Amino acid sequence: MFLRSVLVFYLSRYPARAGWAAGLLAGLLLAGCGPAPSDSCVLLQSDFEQFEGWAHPLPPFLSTEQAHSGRYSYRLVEGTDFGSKFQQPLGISCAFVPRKLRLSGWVYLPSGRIGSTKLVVEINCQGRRKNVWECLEVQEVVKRYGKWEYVQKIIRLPPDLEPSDILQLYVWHVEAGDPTWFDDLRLEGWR
Amino acid sequence: MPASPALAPLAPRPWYQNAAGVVALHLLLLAALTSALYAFGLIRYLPADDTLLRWDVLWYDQIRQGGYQYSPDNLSNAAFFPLFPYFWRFTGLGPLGMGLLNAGIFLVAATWLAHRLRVPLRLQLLWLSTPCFLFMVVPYTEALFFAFAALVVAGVQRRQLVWWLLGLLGCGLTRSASTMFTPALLFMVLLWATQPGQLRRALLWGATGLLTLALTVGMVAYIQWQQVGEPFAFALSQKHWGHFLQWPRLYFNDPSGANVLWLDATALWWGVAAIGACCWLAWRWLQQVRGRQPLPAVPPEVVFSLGYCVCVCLFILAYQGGSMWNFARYMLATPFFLVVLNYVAAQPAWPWRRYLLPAGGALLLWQVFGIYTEGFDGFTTPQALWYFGLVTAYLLVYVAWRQLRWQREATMLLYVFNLVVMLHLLDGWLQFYVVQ
Repeated sequence: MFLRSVLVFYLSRYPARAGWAAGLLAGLLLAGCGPAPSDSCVLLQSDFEQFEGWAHPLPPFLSTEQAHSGRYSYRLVEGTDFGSKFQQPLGISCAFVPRKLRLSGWVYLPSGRIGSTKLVVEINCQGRRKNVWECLEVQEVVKRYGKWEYVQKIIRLPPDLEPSDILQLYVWHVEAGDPTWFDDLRLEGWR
Repeated sequence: MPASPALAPLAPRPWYQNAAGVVALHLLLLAALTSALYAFGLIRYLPADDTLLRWDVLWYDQIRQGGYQYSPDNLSNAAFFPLFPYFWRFTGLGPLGMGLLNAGIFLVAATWLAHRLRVPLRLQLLWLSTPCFLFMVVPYTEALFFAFAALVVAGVQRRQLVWWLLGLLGCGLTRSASTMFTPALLFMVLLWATQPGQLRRALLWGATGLLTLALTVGMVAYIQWQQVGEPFAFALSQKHWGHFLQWPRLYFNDPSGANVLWLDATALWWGVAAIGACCWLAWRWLQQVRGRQPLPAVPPEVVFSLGYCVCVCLFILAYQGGSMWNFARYMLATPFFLVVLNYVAAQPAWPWRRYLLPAGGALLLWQVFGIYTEGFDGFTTPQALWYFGLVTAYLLVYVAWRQLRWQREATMLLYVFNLVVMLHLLDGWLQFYVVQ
């Protein structure tokens, strides 16, 4: 917008130099097409297929009973309140400290009797500040049962996080209820 | 305080053109829709002895069978008030029998109240379809509370002190009504007492009402003290249900999810509107006290109902930390909502541009659910805008109902929609899904 204003002003003062102006504009546009620092990054992307062949027996959270893609999905083991936890420092997958996260994925609920089930994103700041704790209440957003449903949640982060802060993602089954399956989980970060 | 318009003698009308006829028509339509949806498989469950033992029914059943238990560290049945479970024990009925008896109590009370308030027949039909009335056919306190609250409303309207006191007694023993009723009662008495020649009567009603509410608290405390040794167990156990004084956290939510949250959102809108109306009445009361302007003529049952709506709204906001859990049934499944709705419907028509105020207010209010800032989980911003746009349109039909050009069509559209939602929610509730 600023460049356009400058150009309009320039042409109004020097109409004979329109050729110059066109060249200048093309140069500026071409300069804008160069590689720019990315504004987003992917902190986690998992379809739970990559564990096969690497571990025997397979991790207990892997399930072949339901899958949105491939053969495997993530399932909370019966009798446990918490699922296996994904964790890594924020700075591992992101060249910057994100200010916004988008958690998305596919959820399969056999019925509405799942009780309170939360997909939790936690950032452990190791005592430096209060941990960031946000969750997606699965039973609130999924109202169709016996089929895979897409869910997503936007999370805004405070400005004082550091690359060494630990990002954690896990399922918390607060109340006993029917099992839940998760697949194709993705966590994106933005500046 | 002006006499209620409904004090005038009621003109006789044929049976099918009165409140009982509307209830009969409603039952017929409800039976037709329920049987059709059940036959088509769109709803899978109907109330039965096994499907009705869900959620709070289990707590009431526990009190019915074994009396009170209290644990200072955990959930216990001491949080529930005694009248309903002991009434249930007295009847000797099973869950289905009690559910049907509840439905009968509700229908009789609703017919009587609609008759007393002279609710327009179409509006009565629309109101009867309120989705939260699903709790009238399950063994919950809703029906009993409704019947006693109807007595409170009719008592004030007809100036029947005995009805008023009996209603307060029943409400106070059925639920923790004294918390909601005390401020509403004081506000009503305040406005009433400033009317010429009404001071003594207002004080009598206020004093006897407060004594009755105190009596209910004392009776519940005595029963619990006798059974569990802790007189205030009902208050102490509230914290285990997440009811304690706390700041509401943004964004507001409902554990029941998107299929109930819109009802809570409408209850929130009515609650905020009631707060606005009560603030305006308080301002006008001050003006009257200063001798500047007379207080507008608002019937006392409307003032009490507005006060109740305000108290429920403030309780939910102050004690549930941003969860709208139970908001709709506490507000919309009571006679107080009918009183307010009927009063709004009796007002002169507004210029249409005036509806920009409630519509604009609603669209601003929905931000508490984070609709403009990606805070409404599971929905993108356009989806959230569409969802709450529909809620706003739904609300406006109720607010502007009296002057809708296609009133009959709008009433039947919302009536059928409400019934479908009610049956859908009941179907979920009977399967132990989270519906509150």
